[in-house]
Amino acid sequence: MHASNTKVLIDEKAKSKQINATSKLGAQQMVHWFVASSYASSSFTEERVKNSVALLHRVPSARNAVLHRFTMLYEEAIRASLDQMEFPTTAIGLSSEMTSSLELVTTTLFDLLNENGEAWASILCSWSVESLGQISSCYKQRQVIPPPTNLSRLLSFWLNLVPMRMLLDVYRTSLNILIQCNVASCLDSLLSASSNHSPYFDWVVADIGNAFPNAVIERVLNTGFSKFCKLRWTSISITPSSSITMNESEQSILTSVIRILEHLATFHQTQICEKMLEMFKTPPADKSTGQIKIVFFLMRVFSASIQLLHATTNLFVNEINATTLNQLHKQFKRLSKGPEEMESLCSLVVHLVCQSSTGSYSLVNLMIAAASHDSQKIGGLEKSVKDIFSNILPSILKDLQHLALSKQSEDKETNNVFFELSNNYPNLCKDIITTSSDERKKWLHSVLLSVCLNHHASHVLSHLLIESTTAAHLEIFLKLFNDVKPFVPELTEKIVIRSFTAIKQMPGEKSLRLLINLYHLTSQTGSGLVSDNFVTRMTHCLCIVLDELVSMLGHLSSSQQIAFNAVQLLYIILSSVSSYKIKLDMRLMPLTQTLVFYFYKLLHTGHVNNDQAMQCCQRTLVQLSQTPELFAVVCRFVLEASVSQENSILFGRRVESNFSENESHSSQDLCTDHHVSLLSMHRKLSAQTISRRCSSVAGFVPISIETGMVGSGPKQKKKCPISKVAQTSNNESLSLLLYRCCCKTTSGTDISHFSIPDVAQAFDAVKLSVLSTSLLSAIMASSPYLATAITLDGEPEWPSNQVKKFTIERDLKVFHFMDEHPFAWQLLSLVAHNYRSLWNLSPILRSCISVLIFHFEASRYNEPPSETSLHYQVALQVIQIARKGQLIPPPLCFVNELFHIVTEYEINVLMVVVWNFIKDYPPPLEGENNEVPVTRNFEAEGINLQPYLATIHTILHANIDKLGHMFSRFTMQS
Amino acid sequence: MNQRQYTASVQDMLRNLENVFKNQTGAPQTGPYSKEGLILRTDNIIFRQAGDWRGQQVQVLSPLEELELIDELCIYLQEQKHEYVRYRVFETLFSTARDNALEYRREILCRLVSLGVASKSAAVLECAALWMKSCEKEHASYLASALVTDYCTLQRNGVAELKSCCNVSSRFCCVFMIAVTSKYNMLVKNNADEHESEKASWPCAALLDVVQSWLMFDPALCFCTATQMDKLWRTVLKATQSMLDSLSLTPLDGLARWCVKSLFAPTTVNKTTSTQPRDEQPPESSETLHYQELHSRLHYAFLKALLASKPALKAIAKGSVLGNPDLQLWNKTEVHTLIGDLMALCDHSDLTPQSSSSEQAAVDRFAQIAQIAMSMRVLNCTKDQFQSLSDPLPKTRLLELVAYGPKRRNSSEETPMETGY
Repeated sequence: MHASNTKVLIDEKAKSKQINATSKLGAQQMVHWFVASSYASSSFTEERVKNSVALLHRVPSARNAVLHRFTMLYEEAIRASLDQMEFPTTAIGLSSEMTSSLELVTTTLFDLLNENGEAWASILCSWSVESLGQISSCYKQRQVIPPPTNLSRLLSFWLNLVPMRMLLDVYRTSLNILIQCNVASCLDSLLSASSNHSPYFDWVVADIGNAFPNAVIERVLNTGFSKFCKLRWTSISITPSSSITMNESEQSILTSVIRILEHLATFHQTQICEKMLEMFKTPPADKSTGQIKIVFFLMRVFSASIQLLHATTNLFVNEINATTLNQLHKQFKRLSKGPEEMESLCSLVVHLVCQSSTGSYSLVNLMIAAASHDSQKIGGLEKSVKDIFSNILPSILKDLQHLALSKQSEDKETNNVFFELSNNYPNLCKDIITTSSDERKKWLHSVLLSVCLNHHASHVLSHLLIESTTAAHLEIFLKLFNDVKPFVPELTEKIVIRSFTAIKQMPGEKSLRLLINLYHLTSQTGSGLVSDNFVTRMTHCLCIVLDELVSMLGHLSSSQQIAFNAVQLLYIILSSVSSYKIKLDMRLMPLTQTLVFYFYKLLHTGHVNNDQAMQCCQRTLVQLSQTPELFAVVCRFVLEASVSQENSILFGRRVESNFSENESHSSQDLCTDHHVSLLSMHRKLSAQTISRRCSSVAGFVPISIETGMVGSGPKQKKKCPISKVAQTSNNESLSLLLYRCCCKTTSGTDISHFSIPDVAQAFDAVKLSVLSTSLLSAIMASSPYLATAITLDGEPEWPSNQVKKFTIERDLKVFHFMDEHPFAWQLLSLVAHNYRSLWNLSPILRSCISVLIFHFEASRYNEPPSETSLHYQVALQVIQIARKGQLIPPPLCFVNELFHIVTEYEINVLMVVVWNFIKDYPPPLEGENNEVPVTRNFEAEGINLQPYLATIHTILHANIDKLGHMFSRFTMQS
Repeated sequence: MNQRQYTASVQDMLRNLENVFKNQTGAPQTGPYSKEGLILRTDNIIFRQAGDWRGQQVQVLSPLEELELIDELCIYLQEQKHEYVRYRVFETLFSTARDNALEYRREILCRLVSLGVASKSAAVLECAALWMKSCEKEHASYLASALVTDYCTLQRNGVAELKSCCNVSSRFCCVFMIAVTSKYNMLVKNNADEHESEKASWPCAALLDVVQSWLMFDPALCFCTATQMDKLWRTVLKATQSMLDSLSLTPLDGLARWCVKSLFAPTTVNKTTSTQPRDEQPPESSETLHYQELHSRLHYAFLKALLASKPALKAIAKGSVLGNPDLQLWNKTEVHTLIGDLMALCDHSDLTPQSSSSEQAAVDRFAQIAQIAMSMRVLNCTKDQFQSLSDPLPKTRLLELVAYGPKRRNSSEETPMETGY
């Protein structure tokens, strides 16, 4: 142990002697030795390396050569290591001599750095980084080395290689010294090596960047900036300063700066961004033009590195305000050489804006604000600055549009300028709608156009469509639409579909706006921006959303406004699109049902016939019932609905009073009702009756009987909850609707100004017959009594006068029905235009007449009936309808003119005459050719009227004092 | 290319050049394929710098070949016994009048001289001295600063190497001093933020050490450019005399400036020198000296050097120096400039500086230098002229003595001169 220690000591001494021996040689001899050994075949023996180290210490001028030699040593060592990796069996790897040589060299270099770091650091720094570069690119072909694209693997590979690691450590140490001494140029060598040896050198950049991120970022930016300034703003006549070599150009500097920054950006992006922002905020000492130079530099950097641009856009946009811009402009004017520079700056700006991604919206917004002098966002901007923006903006927008068009075919990228613009389209739309400046509007229009061209046409346009509230807004929409249309196929469809999908998630007023706007668009024709083609197209497109429209119309929660507009649109669709296209056969049922539902809703909410909504609804229904087949459906729905529980009260059906408006009241005072005395009620009522009647009928005491459960008060009178006026109006609305439906010419007319002549020629005979069957079935459906009653003897033939006793209950029901549904009279009158159709409804007339006969037969008053009484009215109506429907011929049909003069019993007699005539002479059935004559020819039927007229004459005779003048009316002119 | 080929081609080239100059002495050649062609080929073959366009300065010599080249040149210059031919070859290679590859050739020159210092090659250093003296100041100070970097900052034992040069070539040392004193002019820049340039105008301690040790060793070193003016130097310098921006004849002015102004050295210079790690080998006592100590040594050595100026003045008077007997070693303009600089450095507020302040010390040093210079007739200046020159300076007792003299000693003006002997 001791012996070996001494041996080591002796070795050490011998070694140091050897070194001393060489160092005692003259400098020139050492140089000779070194040169000779460099050319020798097996170059790196330990002794030679020692000599080299000694030479490095002794002769300063040999420094470069010795360092170069060291590079080759490292290279050799790395080759040996790589060989061993690639051919583990044959290659021996690092020899011990090589290892010790490497160690010697590395310790020597570290000694130099430790002893006199400040002096040696810059030399060793540039040497080591250049060696790293050389070696990295020298072995780029080796298979064991990972490809430069996989940076992390490459990095770990090289770091695990001992010689490379040593060299890198030398570089790191010297760089560290330089950074501590604050040497500004410490990264120049890294930059130039990076530009010479990329991409094989990138791992060094990444490693160094990770080791000294802040320093590297700062230096790289500063160095890049100062070189950039020198190249750009130093006139050529001045000899370039030593920090710039001749082969450096603006581009190469930028490239290397960016390459390094981009490597760093993976882990230190925020630091880079902050540093750049700091550069911008704290411009260099050169006050007059410092900041604009920085801006130029940063812009060039961004233009070359999209990654950095994307990372910093938002940061910088937040920093820019009017003061900054004004100041920059001042500096620019000081610096500028001419209009070409301005032009190139502008094109750079355009390029940058088009390349931006995150923050592109705020960027574009800022530019527009600056160009349009938006005092809110960016106030106090000088006019000249504003002009610059105004000049740049059109080309930006143009480029954006080109970009959008060129990318149209590609898949959606998440990382381009449109990403954020598209996401912010609602804001853009809002801006364009709210802004008052025409200029701004124009620019926003272009921006939106490019967004549209970039896959978002339907979104933008539908949004605009939904948000528009005035005609001016719609004009914006149309302008944009016209611009986008050539580029986007089936644009209208897309917009419409998109809009209707979108409004489902929006509040009701949006739907309303949409409907109103659509209506405006489809109803206006011939205005400047709207081509006819557009309107038709739009209308056709609306067919797609017909179901949505229908559901909006039918939805209980939809407001009246929405429903109204939906109906308007429906009308437009129905009136201008063929039913085939609408697929009406499939949609007819729901469509009709909804419209009818809406119609009754309108009635329920108190709309009268002249209301716009009502007219619109009617117009649509009329439009829908163009053909008899369609009319049949419409008619059925309308009539069935009219007799339903909830709707029939509209027309006067009386209901239990607890349905009426005093329901709450009665339920509250139920107890008091219980204690009402039936007797006192009865007395009160009969007293009233007596006092009214006693004047005319002496000695007759009517007995009024009040029915009701004893103890639960009087029987509540049934009552219609709707006011009389409203009832009339409702009846009128319904009957008018059907009148209109039955008209021959209905399409394309404004029904509010269209009066219907009450002549047979105005109505479609087929529709009338459809109406008749529908009405009949509706009446039948209204209650189970009526259903059985009418079908029991569904025969149109009238029985003899006696038979009617058996059907009195049914007749009363029908009579009652007619009383509660006055519109049925109107319809009967309508149907009467076609006597065959009326004949279908003859059971109703029959029941009415039957009831009248019973009523008047039992009457004992010797005076004409009150003209306001129900039966009198019905009697008049029945006769009028029978006359109109040609069930009774002329002299006979004038009997109603007598009703207000003769006594009630005589009316009964007259009615019996009419009954008998109708029973005896029903209208003829169809002829051989199925042709039905329009008018009934009573003479051709060979009717003998005399027996019927005889009865009438008798009555005339009995009342000759009052009816004498009427006699001629009831004589047959032969 | 292996060693032999490149070395051989260099040797070949040198031989050709030698022949040209040898023949030229006899019969000057006039043919087109002579000197110019040869020089062009020199650039091509020796420096591998083809063509003469400036933008293409790609280094094509490998570091090893550079080393071979300077080694070969060193050997050649040493072996060339004919002084004229030696310098002409040297001058041809490194002429600053030729633009082609100027910077690269200058770089090689720096290496060559550096090697000359390391190998104590008198021939190389003599050539370098004449080259520095005869070319523009810019190139000379570039070479000087390269040597300073090599030997004063980078190399561990470099100071010793340089110190021993005065045994090899005194003229080189002299010219080197002229160059460094003109480069490190100790001017204080106004913009204080330019840290680097401020540091750059002050010599480092190691350099001061070298200069003071040279002067201590041989006070007459300052004047050897004047006293050792031989035929070659005279010829060459006469040819380049018209050049405006060349080094002065002696380092007197520069050294005087160093002596006076060194007291105002910025702390950064002081600090870096004192903290520089030199603990490994302290063989020489001067290594550990502080900056100001080095300066006072330098001041002492300079005063001694002034006292040794007689031979130089004689040589000038004889007209052997550039044929100008009226040549001033330290003229009034230079003194005036120095006074101006001194005033800029001094605090103006008090006209009588406090004792032991750097202002007083500086003025005192100036007074000492001026007194000896005047008495040695290095500075030709009457009492009145000196009084008016030094008037703006802060007054110290010593300066008053020098300028006005003590009243009682008014009669014997020659006294200071006698103390010198």
